[in-house]
Amino acid sequence: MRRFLFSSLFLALFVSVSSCSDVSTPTQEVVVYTALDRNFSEVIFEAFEKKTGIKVRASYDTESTKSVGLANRIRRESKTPRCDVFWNNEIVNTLLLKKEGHLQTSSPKEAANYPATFRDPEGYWYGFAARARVLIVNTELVPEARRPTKISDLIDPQWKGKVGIAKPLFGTTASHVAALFALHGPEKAKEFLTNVRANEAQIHGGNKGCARAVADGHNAFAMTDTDDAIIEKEAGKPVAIVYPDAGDGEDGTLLIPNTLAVLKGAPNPGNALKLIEYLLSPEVEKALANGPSAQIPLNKNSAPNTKLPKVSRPMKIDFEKAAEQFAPAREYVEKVFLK
Amino acid sequence: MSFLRSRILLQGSHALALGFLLLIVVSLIAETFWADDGSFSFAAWSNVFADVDRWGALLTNSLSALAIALASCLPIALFLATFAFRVTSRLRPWLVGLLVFGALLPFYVTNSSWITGMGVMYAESIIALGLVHGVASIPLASVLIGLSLRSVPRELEETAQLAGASLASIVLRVSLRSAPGGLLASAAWITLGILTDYSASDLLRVRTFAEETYTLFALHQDAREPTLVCLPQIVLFSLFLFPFVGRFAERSSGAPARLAPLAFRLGRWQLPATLAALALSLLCAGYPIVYLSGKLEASKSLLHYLEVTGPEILTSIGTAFVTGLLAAIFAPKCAWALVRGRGFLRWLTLSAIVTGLALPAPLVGMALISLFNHPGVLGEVYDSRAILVIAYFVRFFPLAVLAAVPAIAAIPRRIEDAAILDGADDATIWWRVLLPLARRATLGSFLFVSTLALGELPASQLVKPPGYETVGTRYFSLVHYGIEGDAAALCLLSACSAAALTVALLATFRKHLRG
Repeated sequence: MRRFLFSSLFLALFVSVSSCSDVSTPTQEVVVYTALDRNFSEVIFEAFEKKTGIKVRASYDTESTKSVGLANRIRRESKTPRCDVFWNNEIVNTLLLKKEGHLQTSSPKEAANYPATFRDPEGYWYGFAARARVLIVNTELVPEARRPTKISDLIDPQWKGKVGIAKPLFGTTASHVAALFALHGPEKAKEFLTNVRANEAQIHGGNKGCARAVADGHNAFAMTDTDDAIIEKEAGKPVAIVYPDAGDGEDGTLLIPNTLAVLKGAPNPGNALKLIEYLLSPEVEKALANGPSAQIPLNKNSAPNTKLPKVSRPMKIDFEKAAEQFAPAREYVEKVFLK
Repeated sequence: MSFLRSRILLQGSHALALGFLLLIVVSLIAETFWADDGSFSFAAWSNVFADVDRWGALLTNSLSALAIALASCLPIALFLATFAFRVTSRLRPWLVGLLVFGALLPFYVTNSSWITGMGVMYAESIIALGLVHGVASIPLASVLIGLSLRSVPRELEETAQLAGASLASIVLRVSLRSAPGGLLASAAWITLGILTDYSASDLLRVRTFAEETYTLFALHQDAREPTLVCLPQIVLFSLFLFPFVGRFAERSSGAPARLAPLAFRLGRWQLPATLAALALSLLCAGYPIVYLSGKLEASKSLLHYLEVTGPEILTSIGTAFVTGLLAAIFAPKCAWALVRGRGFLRWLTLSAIVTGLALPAPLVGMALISLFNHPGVLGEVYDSRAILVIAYFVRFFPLAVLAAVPAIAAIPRRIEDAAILDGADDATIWWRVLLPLARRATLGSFLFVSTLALGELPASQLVKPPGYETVGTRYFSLVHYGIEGDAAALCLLSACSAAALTVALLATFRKHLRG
């Protein structure tokens, strides 16, 4: 009985450990931390694997701690980095990582086809596949004549308790808040945030939650990104996408690029460069533009996005200044939204 | 083997398992005393404990949700426990099977079904949070209370029955009073869930201690503030659990052979009670399955879902089974130390088990990151699926030990004494005498821990290495987009594994569960 028990246990242990074990024949691999939603980025990685034979070990972000969670993970692992490439779905946290010395330079050939404003002059990061920060509006709850057109409509008392934003501690919403701090100054930005809270804006777990809440009729309108908004629109939900602050004399619509960076001490720098070169290619820009996320291509050789209207008035923002304001903005947001 | 070597081997492996649990807690608390520059500092303590507003909000939300969860769970669980474990009915084995299956369903399966099914995804509602936890806990609470009710001395209930007491009076005033363990364990389980599981509070966006811990760690990249936010609950829970677990082990070992418990008959209430019990059991265990099945996309086949979720399922099964095996190896020995041990060994075991039970899952993940995120062998472990196994072991080993206590305690002491008199050393007594008699405890530990590990989410979310997802973490990323086909398929595949383990557990412990 004992022999049978131990033999069975040993066999089960062997089989389980084998299935669990990471000891395998050495393969080429690249480790990437990606903040872009898995259902958009995974197909890109699969295509890369097929093309190059390099295995991609991806770590995906969670909706509720977007971008900041991964950036902090990179900081924690800085003494023994295991990530090669950081694919961020925004830019501010990439700039902060550069400032803190967590990145290394790289020279992908395709970088020359990107505007200078969307790549680091020293080669620490590269921007591609942008998204716009938009208002998604429920067309059944909000008649066209009353549609919001500005970010400041989030604090309009007529919409009290009927609007939504994502938790402004993470992701593109945190970057947007930092951009407002940089653009208008801390005092005005703080006043705006306080008023958003006072207007009983519903705080969702992420931009996707905002888009769904509006699509399902729980919010009249909400702040979100184009990729989350377009999915609801294409699913036939009663929503409209508004590029905010696009009028004369207004701030303009914030465009946030995805960014790519190789980490300092990356275990596979050669494969990291190959992955970045692939991601910056017109082929990937096209795939992301034509895919469900409808990203806005920045590569000059890529065809424009046909799913979304062009952003008529992009916000003129210095992202380096926004990165400087990230910490004070976060501190204030914690005070207002975590109490 | 020499006497000393056998003692070192046996006690050494025991101390290793327990020492690791205590190391987790010690490392977390030690980290709170270090500033960013590595100097000794109380800054983290003053930042956290001076923030009265935060404590007020967290306590209000967590305690409100807890009260609602307890109120919604315990009365129903008591009714189901009484019916399934003590009332004469042909449906009893089926009800017990349903309740065990419901108890083994991962929490994310039940919470996602109820949250989206009730349409409260956007509600930010404490009431919804409490109800979700309460309803999800009904099956497990019913089983715990039912097992406890079966240990009530028959003569006490017979005396009350002869005195003309009603069934409700007997159960509430006699049975529960003499065997409150199941009720207390259920309340403790629900409390732990509210305080430490963030999957529901994250979806419902209700600020509780669990949600705060997770958010703080994501924001500030270290475990200091999350540890301090959880410290009062860890201390209070440990203080509550210490005597409770100690007494549980003592009572299990001292329990004399009992007569079979009294089986109640309900007379004219039999049919309505049967229907009510059946409806409630089906609702608790069956609603998630029915709801999730409705979310599957008809155009996609089972093969498609298996293909999409295959890697996650394999990772989950592999890591869960290895954890189960480790628990099977160490849990009976630790249970023996709780039941029969004396002095330092028993104290060490009790402390480690109690602290492990009180430790919130996110903190387990954070501690493992601090301990393993270093160069060399530790880093290799950190970058592999072994880190998931370690996380599951830390989380569920204390429960495996408690689950093994009754089976170990049932081994007659005279057998052990006879082996000692024959000159057997510790290792011989354990391997050749006690372990064969404890095979049910071994198998039970394996099944129990494997099931729990399959459904684990909070710690996995923090420690999963790049390139690997578990069923729980994959679900967590999908569910923020609403329950669609792939998320529903993942949940249903988890439910299938719960069903398989239910069958195995029922077969192993049928005498105890069915009576």
